[in-house]
Amino acid sequence: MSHDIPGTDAIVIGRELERGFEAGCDVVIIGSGAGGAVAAALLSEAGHRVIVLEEGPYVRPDEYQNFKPSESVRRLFREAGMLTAFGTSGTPMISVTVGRAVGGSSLLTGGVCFRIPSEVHHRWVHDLGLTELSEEALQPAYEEVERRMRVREVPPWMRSRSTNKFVEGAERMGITMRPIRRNTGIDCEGNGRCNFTCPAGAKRSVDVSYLPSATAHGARIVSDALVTGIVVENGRAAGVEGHLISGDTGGRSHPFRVRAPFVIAACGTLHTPLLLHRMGLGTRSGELGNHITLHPASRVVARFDEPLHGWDGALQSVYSDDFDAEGIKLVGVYSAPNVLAAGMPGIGPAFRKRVRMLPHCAVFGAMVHDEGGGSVRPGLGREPVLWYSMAPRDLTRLRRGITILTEMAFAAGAREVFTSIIGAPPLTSVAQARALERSSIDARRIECMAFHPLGSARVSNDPRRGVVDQSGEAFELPGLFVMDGSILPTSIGVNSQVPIMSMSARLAWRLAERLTADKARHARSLRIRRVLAAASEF
Amino acid sequence: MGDQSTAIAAQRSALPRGLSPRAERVARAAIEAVLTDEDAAGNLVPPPRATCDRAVDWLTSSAAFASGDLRRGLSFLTFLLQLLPIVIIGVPSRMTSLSLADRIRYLEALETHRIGLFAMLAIAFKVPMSIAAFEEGAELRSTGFDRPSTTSRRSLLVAAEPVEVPATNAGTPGNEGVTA
Repeated sequence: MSHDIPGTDAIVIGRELERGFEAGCDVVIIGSGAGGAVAAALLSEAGHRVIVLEEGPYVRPDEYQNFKPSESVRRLFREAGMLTAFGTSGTPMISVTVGRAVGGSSLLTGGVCFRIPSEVHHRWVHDLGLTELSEEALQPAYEEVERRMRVREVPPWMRSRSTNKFVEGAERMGITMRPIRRNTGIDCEGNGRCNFTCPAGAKRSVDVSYLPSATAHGARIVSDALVTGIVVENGRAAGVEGHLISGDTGGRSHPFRVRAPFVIAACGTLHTPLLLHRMGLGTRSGELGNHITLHPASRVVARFDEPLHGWDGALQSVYSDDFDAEGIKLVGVYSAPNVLAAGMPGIGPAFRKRVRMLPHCAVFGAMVHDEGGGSVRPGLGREPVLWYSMAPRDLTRLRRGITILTEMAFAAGAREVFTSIIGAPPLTSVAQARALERSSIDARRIECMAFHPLGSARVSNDPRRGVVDQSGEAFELPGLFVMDGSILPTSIGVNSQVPIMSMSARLAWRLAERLTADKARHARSLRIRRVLAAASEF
Repeated sequence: MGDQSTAIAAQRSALPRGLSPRAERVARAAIEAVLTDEDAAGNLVPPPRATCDRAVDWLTSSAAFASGDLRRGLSFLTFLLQLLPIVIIGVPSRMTSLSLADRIRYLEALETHRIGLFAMLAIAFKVPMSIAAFEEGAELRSTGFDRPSTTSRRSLLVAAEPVEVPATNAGTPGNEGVTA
């Protein structure tokens, strides 16, 4: 297996390779999502040799932009969109969206860009002692990420009529709405299906905003490459090994090995802890794979008299933080029409009748700033099992969020509201909504989704309380860094793409400096040795 | 017509299949009930076969793309779906043997069951297969969606004059100091 990565293409399709490879570089990065792509670009721009290994397939933007939603789900979503967090007692089953492709979950976001709220930074610095993660420290990273992703406020004229209803209801209830910022620059056409990829190619996911710069600076990306282990030599990380994936269904193909003095795990919150666990790393603190936050979210569908055609407009364009003190964020949402249709209640004729109402429907969403009740464990195969125990406080917040959304819908003039309580009849009054909130129901009847799993390999300045230090380096293995959502030390209560990318940018800049200094030191010592050798010959 | 059905059959056989024929039969019986409509006289009208094919093909090929754990899980759920009519509606029959009307009654009872896990069982098949079912043809048109396809781009009116878009939140009233 002493072959280098075949060919000269910057992005190598692993499933098409006819043999394995053995390569060397300065930094090998496992995963090409929000964390890994940023690290790859910044390190290669700093002149370091980078190889990125991505388990998922490479799908060119001009191809995935033409995917129907079901095709996106099957080919770009992990577990074909059926990944579930299993609820323990008093917890809904939560559908979790995670990407599996070059570009990772950034391909599947609604494009929403929030910075980590000031109060969360404050807590990290003052309660957890993470002085290097202050808002000021991350400011340059935020600015860099937002510049490259062309983050802009969604202008009012890009709002859908579904969102306008949401805003109207909020205004009547005295709730303040703010414009959301998204990574679409001025190119968004309002196709209303961002999380199944953008037909206009407006969304600046990392495969278009960061990876092209990485490859232009010499980085190579191998898709369909599953890393199964970290090579350890002399007590520090020295590379990775794994095997290529063949065919659509993920069979095992040729082995590979990449040697590098620095390894970055950017496999995401669910898979980074599995990789570390397999290597016996990160277990001393008892934190690995635990305390995962999900930001559980729910939505209501409200039917109005007039047609809204809510699919015309930005998928998400406004939010409200009026309920932040209660741990609830309100967000205007929508989805592809077939996906919304599939979620309407009923079976048979009742279902079909409700699907025909879709043009008259608006969708409102709420997200909970949760405690870390999730844990990830190895499954029987290579996918993890995700458990989630929702804190009673968070369940109350989730149900309260549904009531607030329903009240807003009625304030905006809705005739009936379909809540996310599975099988519940549509509500026709605020009184019914409040009664539903007070009623005793099985939590598993609440249809719930999550898009931001975070915090399974937390940063800390104490090896007893975390898995990595503030530079992202694993306490238990020098040379191994983690740069993805798993290192976030607490729930952040906002969409996680910009936070993950900004954290990764900051850590990558630091690593680049360290690598440059290491190389300079190495070059100096080489020069000295050559001079000494020449002197001894003389 | 013959050529068309041969082409569709060839296309179907090219898809990777992650569920057993038994599990596919259960899924098909479920989606047929879910998508059944009624005519003006109130008679049940089952969905076209091609729509059910599309939904089942999507589920089974998606299962093929997913992990073995998920495939086993889905297969187990089809067993439950098949065997639960006696528990849910008191009819001692497998779901695939129920009449269309009874299947609708059974799945409705599952979906509205006060025990959340039963409700989730109905949703686990209904939602993913319906996404594929409502993606094309008459089913997509029934949603009122006014573009030819879910991949079609929205027709935009040309703005009369250039619109200024602020680059950041900084200048937006009410957003001062908001980092989120």
